Amino acid sequence: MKKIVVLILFTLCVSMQPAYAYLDPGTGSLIVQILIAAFATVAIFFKTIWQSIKSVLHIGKRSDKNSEESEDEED
Amino acid sequence: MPEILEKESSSFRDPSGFIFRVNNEIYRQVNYSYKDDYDLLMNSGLYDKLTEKGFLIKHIEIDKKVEDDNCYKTIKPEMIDFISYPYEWSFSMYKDAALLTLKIQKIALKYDMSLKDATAYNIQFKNGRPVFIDTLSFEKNDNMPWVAYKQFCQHFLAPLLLMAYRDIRLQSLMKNYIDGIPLDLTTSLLPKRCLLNPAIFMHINLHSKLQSGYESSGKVKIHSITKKQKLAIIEELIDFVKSINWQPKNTEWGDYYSFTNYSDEAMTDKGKIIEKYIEKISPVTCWDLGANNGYFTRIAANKGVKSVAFDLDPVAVEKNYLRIKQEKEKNILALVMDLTNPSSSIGWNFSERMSLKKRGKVNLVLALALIHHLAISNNLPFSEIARFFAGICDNLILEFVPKNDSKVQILLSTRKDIFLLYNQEYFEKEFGRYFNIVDKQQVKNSERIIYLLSK
Repeated sequence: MKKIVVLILFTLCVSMQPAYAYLDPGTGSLIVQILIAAFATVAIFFKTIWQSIKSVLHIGKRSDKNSEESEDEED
Repeated sequence: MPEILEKESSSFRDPSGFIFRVNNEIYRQVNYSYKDDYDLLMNSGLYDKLTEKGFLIKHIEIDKKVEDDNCYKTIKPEMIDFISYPYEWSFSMYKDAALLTLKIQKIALKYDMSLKDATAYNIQFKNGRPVFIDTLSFEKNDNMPWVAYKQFCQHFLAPLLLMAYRDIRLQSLMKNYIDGIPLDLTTSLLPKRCLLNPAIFMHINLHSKLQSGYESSGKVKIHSITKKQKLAIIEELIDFVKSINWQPKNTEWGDYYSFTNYSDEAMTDKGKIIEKYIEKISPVTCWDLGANNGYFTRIAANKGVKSVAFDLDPVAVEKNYLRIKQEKEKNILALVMDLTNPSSSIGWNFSERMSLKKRGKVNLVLALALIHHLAISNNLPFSEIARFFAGICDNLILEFVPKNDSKVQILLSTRKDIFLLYNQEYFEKEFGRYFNIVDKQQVKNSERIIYLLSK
């Protein structure tokens, strides 16, 4: 948990850098990503814990459709 | 014969290169300014990975076609049979296009590259599946937040959410907003209950608020972001897009073939006549206008004819696409199209996105059980309908629905019959101005007549 708090704090820390790009990314759009990154990091943390619990309890289901999808996404 | 070079007006924004046509073949110039990123795409293994999965269009490098000092490479991508636009896709097509963009970004990040834009126009449908067509969209990843995130939200999240949670027809807003639906507009159109969804709140509401909050703030210090965090955002977006669902209610057309006034025998006979006519013409391309779920389009598609099934009804098109996906059909593309107001040329200089007409001509048009809707529901005289078909095709298989047909009687039941010239004789006279009547045949157990008309 400590690690997550540190990660969020780190995410919210500022490093000064101007953005130069082909698209105008929009300042608000860049800032909202920093917030979402913090949210997503926490979400992935809990998802990982939930996956581990599921695998320990052997309640994970693996249908054909799911395996096809995961194959699609793996790299 | 000299080669005719024509620059495509859809690619003028990108300084990395441009698309051009020579004798109807598509090429793409890679400029020197994009050299490093192009080489990284090709040499890092990312190109191989994405093309092997069918996510990115394949290309070959060819000799220079244009005398241009900026030209680093010229590539020839695989052709797309029919260019379609997001405002013509069904809900699941749109969703699959969004997921493909995210999956590509996820894989690109693992190869230390990133998409520099995320427009829905970078996706086309080939062999029934979405494919990313902009080879020059990849750049070396940096430590900044994803530069194309705003565009992704405007081009994909906003339309999908509006279609799913407000009204499926709001997809048409993509015609008005060439760079995606503005997030403040999306916020005001979405039901208030959507605010309770944390993902919608962050990607749309908060995002929109921050956009307007920082609009006139000038240069602002931006946080850097790690690759791991970027991947976490993409994972979150993938889960979010997967959770956006649309349950179509049955519409007037969604179950059309369950309650047509055709008997089984008439349906079989109609199919046989159409098949016979298609064999006679041997077309390469076909548009089925008013195709519903693509039942008759498949007669052409199953013979290897590259076919597009257009329909006004998003439910029918959705059903058609889900079948194409399930059956892995390669020769048929399902699209939403209102023939009384078909897609026009839009964007910069009226030419960024092509009109339906510009994407023709086709060898064959199927217009089955359509003429009464055009002539009676939309008050179009036969002369206008004939002129329209003559402008988009060389051959036409048309089903004439006579006035005493029950479907026509339904259309006339609530209005005055002002259609004194709606008869077979006048139909033949007006269509005869543009086409030769090659053959005609009455469908068994029916008053309807199938015409084969050719120029």
